[in-house]
Amino acid sequence: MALIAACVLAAFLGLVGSVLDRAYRVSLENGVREKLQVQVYLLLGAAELDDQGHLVMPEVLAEPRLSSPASGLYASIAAGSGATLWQSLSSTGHRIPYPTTTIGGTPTFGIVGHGEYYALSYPVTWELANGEVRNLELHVAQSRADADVPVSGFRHTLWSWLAAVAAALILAQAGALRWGLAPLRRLANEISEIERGDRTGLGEDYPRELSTVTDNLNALLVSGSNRLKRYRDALADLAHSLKTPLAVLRSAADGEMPAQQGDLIREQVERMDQAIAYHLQRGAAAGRSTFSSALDPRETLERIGASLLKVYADKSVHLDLDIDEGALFVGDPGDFTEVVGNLLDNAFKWCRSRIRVSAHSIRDENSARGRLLMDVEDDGPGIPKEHRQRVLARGQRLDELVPGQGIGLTLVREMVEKAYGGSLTLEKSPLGGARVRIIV
Amino acid sequence: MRVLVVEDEMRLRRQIAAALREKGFVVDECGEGREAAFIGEEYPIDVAVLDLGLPGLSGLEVLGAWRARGRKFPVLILTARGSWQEKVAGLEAGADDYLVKPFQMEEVIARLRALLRRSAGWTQPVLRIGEIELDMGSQQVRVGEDPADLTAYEYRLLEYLMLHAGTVVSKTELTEHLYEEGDERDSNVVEVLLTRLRRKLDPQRRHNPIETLRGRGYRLRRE
Repeated sequence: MALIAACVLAAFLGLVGSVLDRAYRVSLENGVREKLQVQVYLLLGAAELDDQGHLVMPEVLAEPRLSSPASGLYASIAAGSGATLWQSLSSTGHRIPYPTTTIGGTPTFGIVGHGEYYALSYPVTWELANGEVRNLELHVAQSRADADVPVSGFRHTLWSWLAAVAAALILAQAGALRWGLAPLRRLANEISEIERGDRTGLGEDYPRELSTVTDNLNALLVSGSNRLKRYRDALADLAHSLKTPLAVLRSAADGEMPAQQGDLIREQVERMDQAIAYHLQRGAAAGRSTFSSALDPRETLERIGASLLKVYADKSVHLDLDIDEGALFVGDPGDFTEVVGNLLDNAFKWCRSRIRVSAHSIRDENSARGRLLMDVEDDGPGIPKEHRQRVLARGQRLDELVPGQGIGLTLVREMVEKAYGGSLTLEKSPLGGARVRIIV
Repeated sequence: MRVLVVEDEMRLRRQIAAALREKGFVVDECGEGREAAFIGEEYPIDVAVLDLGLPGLSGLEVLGAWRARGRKFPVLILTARGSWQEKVAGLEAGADDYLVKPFQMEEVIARLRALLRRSAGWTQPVLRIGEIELDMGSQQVRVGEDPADLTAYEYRLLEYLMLHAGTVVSKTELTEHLYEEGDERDSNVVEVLLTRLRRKLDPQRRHNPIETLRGRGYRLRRE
């Protein structure tokens, strides 16, 4: 913006300069013409024609410059035929191609001799005493080198002043832009801080013109996170109020009921439990938006890793975290905790003794902020190819014996695909077990 | 083994307590946060089952209070929401394992046994000291090649001594951890029980694995 303004300003000042320059030249030329005209009148006053019609010029002219050689002022008088009748002493050695005129026509002024002279040709008709008529042409010229001396001075003055004005204006304009745009720059900075997760809202004390925008943005941010928190709290309350009775039913089925009824209750409780877990996680997923913050995946992985190492202490698992510097997850921290928790818990459940988690950021053509690619691998039995689809299908269980296996991966896939537009793929790991790859 | 069950839903708490008693645990029950914090701080608890959603003090606050007072017994948390944020928060506050409601009762018992074993420093589910082999899963005891036929109380006594092998355990401590509050008990009962246990573990009286330290208590020799 400042660049465009500077260009416009420079073009404008350039135009002003050349117009002034041109106007000055024109007035200078007019001045020269008038001076030459005066010289013509002086010559006319000095010239005489005798009775035979011969031109008689005085020895000494009123204008001394015409009498000294190369003085810069030249004059000559020609007959109507074109033959030179007289020329000033100063003209010696100068052949000046005066502009031509017609008999009885108007005087002609011009620049001649390859731009070397200003010249004026002045046709006169002279009536002799006997009534005869003689046509004469008076020529006066001035060297341009002399006449134009003021032009270069004027130009120098003109352009240096214009340049100074331009510089001052550009500086003033840049200053004004800088000052005027400072709040917008601050706004952009604060928004990127929000995106990075360094702040939760925009600051106060914006100028009045902007404060309506920033206040609304703040309100939007607050209401967004409040709404999410309300959803999550409501869902957590719902879960609590449903799951505790389910737990009662479930343990009644284990101990207080005849076997057949017990089986029925267990089965139905299991289905309700999975439905609740499924919809709960789906409903609570925040997903990725413009104002999603970005977080370093390392902290979440380390925390959940440490927690699971405690839970699976008997297994003495070796957990490798290979997280790229600069790897970032863009989205809701709670979502990421759920994804990592489910994936790592599966890995701990199935591994023999080794788990490797690697993560790095990748480019994404749909988002300037890129995506996170994360692999969770273990050295367990892995998932046979023919079972992979089934494992991901909703509510399917590969192995009923390991509780919780049922919908962990399904939930992760739901979240990754629906809330983040990402993907989850199952492969065989070089460690021997499963490799779950997510892109979020 | 003495377990504290903290759950505000009375029916569920009674179910858990009943299942645990049936498996030979001594159970303290509680349905409120402040009381739970008090019991955990003042009673000789070996392990606790702690619901996170409690009236009074939340489960996390109760856990924090126990740990702040230096109570180190293992804790199994119960969560209804089952979110990882909640689980991680619980584990970081000092819990040792978690279960999401609804759960299988056998799972609760298995997890509690594993926690007890682990907190005593055993990494395998079968405890072995000398010729004595105790399987906490199946609750079977073998001496050398032969299965030992123990009563429920004899098993509990041996389990407690093995989990505390090498340390001196007083008679009071044994009664506190093996009998419910208010149970009629004679101070001789422990002695009688111990005599029978010694006979079953060491019929020829060759090893004498359980020492008596007069006036102080008993000690199962680590090797």
